[in-house]
Amino acid sequence: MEDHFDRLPDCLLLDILDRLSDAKSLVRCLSVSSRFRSLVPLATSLRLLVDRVVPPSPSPSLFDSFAAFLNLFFPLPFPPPSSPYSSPSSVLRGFRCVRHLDIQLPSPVTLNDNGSTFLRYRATFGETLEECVMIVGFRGKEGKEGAGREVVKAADEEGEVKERVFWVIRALVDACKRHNYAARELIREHQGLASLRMSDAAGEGVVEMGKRGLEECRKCPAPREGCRVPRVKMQMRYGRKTEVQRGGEVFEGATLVVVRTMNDDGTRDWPDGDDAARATDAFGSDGGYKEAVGELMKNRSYSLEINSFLI
Amino acid sequence: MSSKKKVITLRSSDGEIFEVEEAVALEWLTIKPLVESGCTDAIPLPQVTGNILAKVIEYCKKHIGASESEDRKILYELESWDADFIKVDQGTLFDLIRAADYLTIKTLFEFTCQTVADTIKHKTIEEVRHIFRESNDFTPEEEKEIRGKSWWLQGL
Repeated sequence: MEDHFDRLPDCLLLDILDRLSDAKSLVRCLSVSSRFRSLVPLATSLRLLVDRVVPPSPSPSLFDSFAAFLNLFFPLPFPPPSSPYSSPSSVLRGFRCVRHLDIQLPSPVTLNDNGSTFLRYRATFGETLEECVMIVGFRGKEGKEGAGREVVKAADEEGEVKERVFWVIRALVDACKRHNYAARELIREHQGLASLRMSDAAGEGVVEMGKRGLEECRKCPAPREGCRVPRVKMQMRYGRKTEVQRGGEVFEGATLVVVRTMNDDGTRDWPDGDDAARATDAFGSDGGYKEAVGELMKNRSYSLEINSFLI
Repeated sequence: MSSKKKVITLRSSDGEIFEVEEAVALEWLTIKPLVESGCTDAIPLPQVTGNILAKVIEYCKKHIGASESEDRKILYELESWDADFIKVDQGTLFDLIRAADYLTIKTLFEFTCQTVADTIKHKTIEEVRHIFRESNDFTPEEEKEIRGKSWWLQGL
């Protein structure tokens, strides 16, 4: 038997477990020893990859739980009829002290096509949507037009912008659904949660809630059936061709949208902030989006309002 | 040209003597007050052996100033240096964690803990037991419970 003095003390082991963050690895660690079993639930920082979203279901049957449990260790051979472990709240129930939660959802349904369309958004929520920055468009290569697309004449710019509204709404709905999903159970079950981030496997959208937003959301009653997209005001900026340095790429018809929630009476909830700063900070430097945002901010902006609607 | 840099003397648990620049020792929060007080005696570090202390000093000397650099080349070089530095056996790695914790060296502590965390990601239960020298101390009933009832799913 090995010398127990060689073992790390509990507090250091917990420091390591906290940095493991991957929820599935942590759940596996529960079975290591009784010491691990008492420490793992104290992890404060969790990252959870969700393979597929299951509709909120009545409590899982015993077989489902068992199959799900097996699936954690042998992901392939036991495809359960439904997969309750995919529901983040059931996995996370074993952790009592979560402060930072990062959930990666499966890819949302893609926009089209041959992969030349892109959409990126980043949204901040409290009780409801606060603001959202998004960029949509087509990827082309220098000297080549995007696959199967006509070049847009300058005169058609307004038409193009209107066309983008469909995508914008789709992204807003997606963001609000993610938030709605978290607001039902997750953030109520984890009262200590100080930051929540929900991304997706395709890297399309990021929904974020900070400490203030989470507290605000907890004070409100849990959303009932349906998910409401609030009344919003959008500033849209369009660029027929936006060149980004990275790999000589050209974004065609790229549209930058800064979305802010408005009060029901149509007044702005937020003080006039600096769109430029918010938009530039929204995306990392990967993929040229940050660069494109900088270019698009120079263009004229179109304003648009959308009334609240229920999905 | 410049005045000679101030040197701090340290003594490991096995009596080895080390000399480090004051700037390096000031990053070790545990001994910082002693260093600042101008103590000239060798500072005893009864929880750190000589070979581990040598590694700790090596890491801190390399990182002082460089971690804050914004030069991509320097940071890249530092990263690959780190990768080589951490190629040590499990026992040494745990000793480094203990030393970094005892001396309160934030950068080294975070780096070593993250390294262990990355190692156990996707490892089997048996492998994790081996790494941490844990033994399976569950009673057969407990084991059955863990494997069968998946209590964490039930919200315990």
